[in-house]
Amino acid sequence: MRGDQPLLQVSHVRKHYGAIQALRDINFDVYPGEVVGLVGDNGAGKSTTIRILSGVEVPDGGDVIFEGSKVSLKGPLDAQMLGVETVYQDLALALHLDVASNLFLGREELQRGWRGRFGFLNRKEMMRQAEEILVQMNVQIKDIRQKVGELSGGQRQSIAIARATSRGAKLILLDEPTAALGVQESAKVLELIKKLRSQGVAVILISHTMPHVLEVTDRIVVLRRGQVGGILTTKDTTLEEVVQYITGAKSQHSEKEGVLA
Amino acid sequence: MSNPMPTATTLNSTKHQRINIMEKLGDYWTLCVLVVIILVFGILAPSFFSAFNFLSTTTSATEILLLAIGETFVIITSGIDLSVGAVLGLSGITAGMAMQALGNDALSLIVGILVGLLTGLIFGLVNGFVVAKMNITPFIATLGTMGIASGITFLLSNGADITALPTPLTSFGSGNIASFISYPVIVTALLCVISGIALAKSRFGVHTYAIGSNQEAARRTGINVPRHIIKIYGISGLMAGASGIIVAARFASASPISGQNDELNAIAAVVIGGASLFGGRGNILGTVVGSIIIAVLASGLVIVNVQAYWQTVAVGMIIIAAVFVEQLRHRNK
Amino acid sequence: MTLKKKAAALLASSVLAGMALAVPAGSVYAASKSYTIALVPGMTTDPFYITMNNGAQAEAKKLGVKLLFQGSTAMVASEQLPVVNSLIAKHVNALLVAPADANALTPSLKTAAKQGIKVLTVDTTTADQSFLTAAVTSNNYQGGEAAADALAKAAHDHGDVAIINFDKGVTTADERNAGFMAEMKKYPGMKVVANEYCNDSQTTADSQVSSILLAHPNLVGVFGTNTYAAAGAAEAVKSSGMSKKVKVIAYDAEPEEIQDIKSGFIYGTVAQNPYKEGELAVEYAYEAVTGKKVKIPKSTKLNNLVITQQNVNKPSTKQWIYAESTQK
Ligand SMILES: Nc1ncnc2c1ncn2[C@@H]1O[C@H](COP(=O)(O)OP(=O)(O)OP(=O)(O)O)[C@@H](O)[C@H]1O
Ligand SMILES: [Mg+2]
Repeated sequence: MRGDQPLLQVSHVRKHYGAIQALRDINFDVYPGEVVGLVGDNGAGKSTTIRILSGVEVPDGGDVIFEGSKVSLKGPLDAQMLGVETVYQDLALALHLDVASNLFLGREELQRGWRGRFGFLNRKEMMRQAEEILVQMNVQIKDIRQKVGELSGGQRQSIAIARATSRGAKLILLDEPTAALGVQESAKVLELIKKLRSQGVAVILISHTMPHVLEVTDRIVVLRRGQVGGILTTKDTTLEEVVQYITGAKSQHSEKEGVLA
Repeated sequence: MSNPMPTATTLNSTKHQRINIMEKLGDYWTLCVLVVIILVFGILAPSFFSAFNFLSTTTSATEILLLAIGETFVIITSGIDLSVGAVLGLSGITAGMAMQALGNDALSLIVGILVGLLTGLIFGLVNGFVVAKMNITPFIATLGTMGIASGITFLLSNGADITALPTPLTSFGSGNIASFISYPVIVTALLCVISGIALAKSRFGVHTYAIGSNQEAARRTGINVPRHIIKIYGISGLMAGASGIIVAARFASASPISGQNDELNAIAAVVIGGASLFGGRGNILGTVVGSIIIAVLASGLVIVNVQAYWQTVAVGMIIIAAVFVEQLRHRNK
Repeated sequence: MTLKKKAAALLASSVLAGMALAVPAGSVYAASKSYTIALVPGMTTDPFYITMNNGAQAEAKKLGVKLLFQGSTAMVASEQLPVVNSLIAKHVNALLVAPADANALTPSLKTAAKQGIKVLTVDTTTADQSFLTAAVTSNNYQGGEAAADALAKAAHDHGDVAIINFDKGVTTADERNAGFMAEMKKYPGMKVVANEYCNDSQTTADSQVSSILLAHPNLVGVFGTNTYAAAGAAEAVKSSGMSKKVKVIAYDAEPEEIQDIKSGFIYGTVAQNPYKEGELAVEYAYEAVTGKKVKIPKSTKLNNLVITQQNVNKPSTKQWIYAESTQK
């Protein structure tokens, strides 16, 4: 799966909130179509890293390099323009709107001609595309005219992820997508992540549920106190080893920068 | 998207299902309440079913309905506009003063109408700006502009009515077709249709619901939320301006006290119509029904010779019932 | 689903129950041969109009007609119009209205007249009177004159006076003002130094009179052209400590005002005769509806009485004091 050039390179990124040094020195990269797990204890800096990559926060120092060139993300829209979509911990769906409207929120399909100029929606086209997207992503929704508020947590998570992919994302950032889900629902979301990989979309997955991380990722970046404690290749590691890195029992701190694994 | 793999299960599961008829009907239960109220009045007093009563009740409903249309947009975004009544009064006065100054001709009429609408629009945009850019809660922001608008109304008018209005305006206000449908009702109906379509069928409408449902989500998908909110309050102000002009036309005078307390009736109409003050829910059809319920109670109770005080009692009961039933409906799902 | 149905049923029945409760049995239909006259006051809660209703009810009872009393709690045309329209839809035989605005009700009242409903105004009236069967009111001009005379007499024809009007553009207010102004000209020693509008607000009247007192040290009297204007004026005079020197004349004879005269808070008041207005209006309406050949005067203006401490306790004054509740 791995191409020659990394899709994303994070280099010496730092961020502090007042006296708290949330990120000290973050270095890792992500290749196209690769699923990277981002793990670590509470407060390790996972969400902060994601917020920087999605343009919500600006780092104090260090570089974010996307497709070979340095980028400065001033807002969520900048990231979206590059093809970086984020599925937030709190989902960011409009619960009163139906599935199709949510999938197309902010980039609705308009009718052709004068009606489009007046902002008339092309509901038919949106429904058609919405079904297509859901089928493609293997997301099961009874009726796409259902309001999102009436769906289960897993279905909502799937829609949020489907929305991110349908916007032509190259990299999707997922912050604890299975945190609030039951066993079956989680399994569906994990399927969805595998699906993204098969379509060439890269994913950064934050999760505290190690079996999930081990199941879907290619590599695992372990954060510890705002630093990268280790980068592991999933197929060569074990649950015990990951936990050792998380707790600091093991560490790969080395002179070498960048990719460690 | 390299390899779409539709499977039998997904095709099957995403097939549209007919939305339950009862559920659809449930959306319009207030309409049933309205029908029941009308039937009760009609049985108690057959003269309730007269053309004149239809004409006068629908006409008197326009004042609140016009405000309630704008208020519907605002409430869907989880805002509230308390200033609409005061802005109605002010718009009537500014329009009236312009027309008084210019005389009794077509130019005066047009300029007057534009001045009235502009007054409403400006106040609406100010509301929007204060809410969206200064981050002041809608309740406080519009409470402030309510006071400002009613103060200016009295400063401008000195408390006196303006009665020198152009004849075309006043004959519009009292005009009708076949003694059945008045011109103000036609204009109001037109505005209802336009705003109803805008809300249900346009991108503007979807964004309105999205902001009320989850403002953060709307922002993250790239919707310019502050600008949209300013537009929404602008619409509300504009409708208040239109209502002010139509009230002045109907009463052949612009009065500084017109519109007082109308905001509460407008909010009541919207809530009876099924909107949620928490945002994301509401529609124009419901608002129309809510406004008509309020107007029908006012006229019907007089016709069956019940003290008019009962109107506010009945409206109060219906508001609480409306919210209660909506809660049940949404808890059921 | 059942919950929904239950809720709907609950609502419908509660609305129906509310109405059944509110509709006095048998009051809905007037007996087919008898006549129905409706009285729409400026405000249903005002003692003046309550007294008028008492007079109208008494006369209606005498004539054997049914009298409805329907209106709004605020003197606002936009709240009065739906009531008037509903009574037109109900097709009462005659409509007695105290219009809150000289123009706003005219189109509807004209429609009523066209439909054969006799339209009379009581107290206030409309600018266009072409369609009216009769207009019965107090002589507000004479009321203004009487106030001027009373103030001049109290001040021994010497000093400055002010007038606080309650509203602009209401016929009664304008006439009281005109009468007062014209009559004051007859007293060479008196001068009207202020002519303000308080918009029916007691606090506005209070602050206006407070400033007038500062600006005009020779002030000897204030005429407040209704209850609120006068009460505000009296409040200002009292707090300035000049109650002895500055006399306040009020309008109307509400029980509270009578109390204020007795206590010296106000000097006097111009009492109208709403009871008589109600009686007369119903009498005229009845004559017009039954087509009796009595000639109905187009305009009737009843004179007023100035009540001061001198006559407040006289037995003949008692009938001029307004009622606070409906007579049974
Ligand atoms: N907005 C903020 N203001 C101040 N401190 C913050 C802010 N956001 C995060 N922090 C701090 O930065 C550190 C890293 O937080 P972050 O949310 O990135 O951790 P996390 O790895 O996502 O933890 P969790 O697993 O609990 O979600 C923590 O010490 C946190 O308290
Ligand atoms: Mg986190």
